[in-house]
Amino acid sequence: MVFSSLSFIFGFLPVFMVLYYIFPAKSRNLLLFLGSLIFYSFGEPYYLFLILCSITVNFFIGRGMEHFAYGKSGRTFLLVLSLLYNFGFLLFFKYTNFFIENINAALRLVEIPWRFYTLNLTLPLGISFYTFQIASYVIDVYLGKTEADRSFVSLGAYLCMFPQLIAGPIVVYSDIRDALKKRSVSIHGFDNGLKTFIIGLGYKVIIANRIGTLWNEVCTIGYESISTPLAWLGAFAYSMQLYFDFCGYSLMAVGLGEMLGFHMPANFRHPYMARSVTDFWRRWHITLGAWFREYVYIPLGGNRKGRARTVLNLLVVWFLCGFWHGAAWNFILWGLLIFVLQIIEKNITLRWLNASNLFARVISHTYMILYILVSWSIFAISDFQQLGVYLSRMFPFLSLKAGNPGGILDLSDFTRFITDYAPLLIASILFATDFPEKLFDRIRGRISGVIVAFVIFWWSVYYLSIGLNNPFLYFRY
Amino acid sequence: MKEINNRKYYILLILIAVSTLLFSLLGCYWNLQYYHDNSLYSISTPPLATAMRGIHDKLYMTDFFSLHSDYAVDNLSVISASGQPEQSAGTSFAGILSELSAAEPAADIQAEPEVYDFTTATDDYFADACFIGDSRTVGISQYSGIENATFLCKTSLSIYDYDKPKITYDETKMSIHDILSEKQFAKIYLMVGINECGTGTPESFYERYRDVVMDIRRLQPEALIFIQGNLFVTRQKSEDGDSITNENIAARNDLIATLANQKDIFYIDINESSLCAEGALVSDYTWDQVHVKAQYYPIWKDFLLHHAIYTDKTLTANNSQ
Repeated sequence: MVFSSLSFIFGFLPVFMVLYYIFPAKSRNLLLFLGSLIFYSFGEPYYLFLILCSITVNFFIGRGMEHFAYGKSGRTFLLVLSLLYNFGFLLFFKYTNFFIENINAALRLVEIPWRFYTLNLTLPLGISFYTFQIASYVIDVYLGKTEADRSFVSLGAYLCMFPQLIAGPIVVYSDIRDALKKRSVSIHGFDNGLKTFIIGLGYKVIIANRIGTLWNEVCTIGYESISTPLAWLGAFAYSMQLYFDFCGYSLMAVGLGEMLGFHMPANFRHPYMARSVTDFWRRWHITLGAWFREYVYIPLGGNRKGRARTVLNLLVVWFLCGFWHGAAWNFILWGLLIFVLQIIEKNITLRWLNASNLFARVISHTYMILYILVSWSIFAISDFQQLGVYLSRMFPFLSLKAGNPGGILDLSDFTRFITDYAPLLIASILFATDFPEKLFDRIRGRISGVIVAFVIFWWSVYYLSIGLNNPFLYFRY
Repeated sequence: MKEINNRKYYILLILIAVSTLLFSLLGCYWNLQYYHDNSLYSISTPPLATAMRGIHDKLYMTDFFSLHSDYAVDNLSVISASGQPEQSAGTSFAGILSELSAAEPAADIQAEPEVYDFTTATDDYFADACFIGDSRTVGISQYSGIENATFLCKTSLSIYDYDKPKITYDETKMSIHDILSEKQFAKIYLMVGINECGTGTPESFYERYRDVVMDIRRLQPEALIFIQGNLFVTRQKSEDGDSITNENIAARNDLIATLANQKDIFYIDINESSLCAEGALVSDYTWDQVHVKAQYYPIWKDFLLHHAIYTDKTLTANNSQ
């Protein structure tokens, strides 16, 4: 079940909220846990068992670790066990086919006639997210940052809670532990969360879904047949779809959390306003960056072990981050591109990009536009041959083929799309800035805020009802 | 503490609850009045979704007019499996069409008794041709290389849109019926069907299709009508489990093929071309499993040129250009 569906908005959510507010505070964790399992089972009933096992195993390991003092080998052994268990499943479900395909390719290269069969696996819903969450729990218990949770239900509620189960934000256990024990709900929190939820819904349904059809049309035409301006427009549409889709979903999660009495971390801070790649990654999918910093970069030494080691640490982080996004080489390439740009920035260009004069602003935003459009194109297209075609459309002088298909500068397809999508394109640029949200925050508590939220709500429901394009790009994670 | 429970925070919630109730009632009312869909309600299509559809179909206008006179509703949409709103049969226009086709037998023009065979033509064959169709025909208009024909096509067009003002012609939105009443063509190519896969049965589709073809025949007595079989989808899409399967498409194609008489109504099947292999669209030629990539549309033009018909009438028409 996705948040942006009628069955969630008018079915699951009202029923759950009524029960949640009626039930006494003590039983809310149990209600949250069970309700979230039901929510999860609407998507994939088979993998319910897997997530329940995950909670059980990690619960007992967490309790078990506390029997050993810090530094004792028993404690370490349990940590390693739990990490192997958690990441083992993630690797298995997400990356087995990737490894098999690459082994086959290598065998083909050295002309050994063996081949392995790829498995027919679907990815358990949310496994990339809940694996990271539960890993944060066991690591924090190991380090003594937090006590192991004494209540199975409480840990279950933490891992499964439906606002962030499918697609984050990645909530670290330590941040939410107090709220798990004791939280209060109020109509103020409910109303505020509802408004946030509605904004997120609007981002997803009114902007992301609809601008996504531009990118779909470009793919349908075929990259070989599009003009250069259209290639750039397609990259723009995809970039906007990805942002509003994921940001919208994260806002919906934050809003739902607030309606339940939890304070969830923000996941996006207007990333397209960033002036450097370094800054961008403090604004895009913030909780993922925070997780990698906390549990990979800093344990490896961060930037405290000399320049060479810092570079290596960053390389590991960005390789893994790219790989987390998808089991294909283009994602790794994407991660490495970010790595290279960040190294260049940190050592050379960051001072200039961050300068406050007008020239620096123009340069930095132009640089970022190029980065955003090119890097998301690499992210979007997994087939390298197709990616090559697309990049050669964006940069026609790079094409190695003599005699490009006629009309790379033929503007007729570009003008057609611009006229069809003009309002959406303008809206997406506007809402990518912080201006609308700041405006809304000022009227949030007033009647005008209520009216705006009401209108966005029904406008979104309208689009959902007439059955238009409603994918969720981060769903298969 | 009092701040947190301030009454004003209830406003949004109450507004949404009340409006949900109102839209649900409206949806039930419109379903009763117009859609008559008894199997409609499920958790993913609650009554208020029907209200939204009604707004999309501008039923409030119909309600307004029906206060003054009996206004038949033609613009109803049905959610097909492809997720696009489709148009179901209206009451008045379809009734007229049915009466006409019942009154006239299939091959009713003063045709010569000979039957014609397909032959090959050159590009100017399309100069007096008209293409009617859905998104695949839009693709033909944009990428096949046919520049000189008239295209009356639109994404998600269905056979039920024949009499609805959907096509922009001479800067106004007109129905295909009206456009064909205004201008005569020598060849008319018709390809719709994929968008109706989730609506009704092949038989109900065929009946409506037949009525439309008869109407075209009446409006365009001299034209050759080419009924195009709908292009298949890829094997992967066909096995996906919704109503857009190659079996369903083939069933519909087979039925509409019976309308051909090889004298002035012909049936041509693009699935015989190299776009298809083993009963399905070649998956390399498409990205979304349904539409052909731009660079492969010239195959379609080539196929059409190899399935041209020359009769005395078209030769005369060509000579007088």
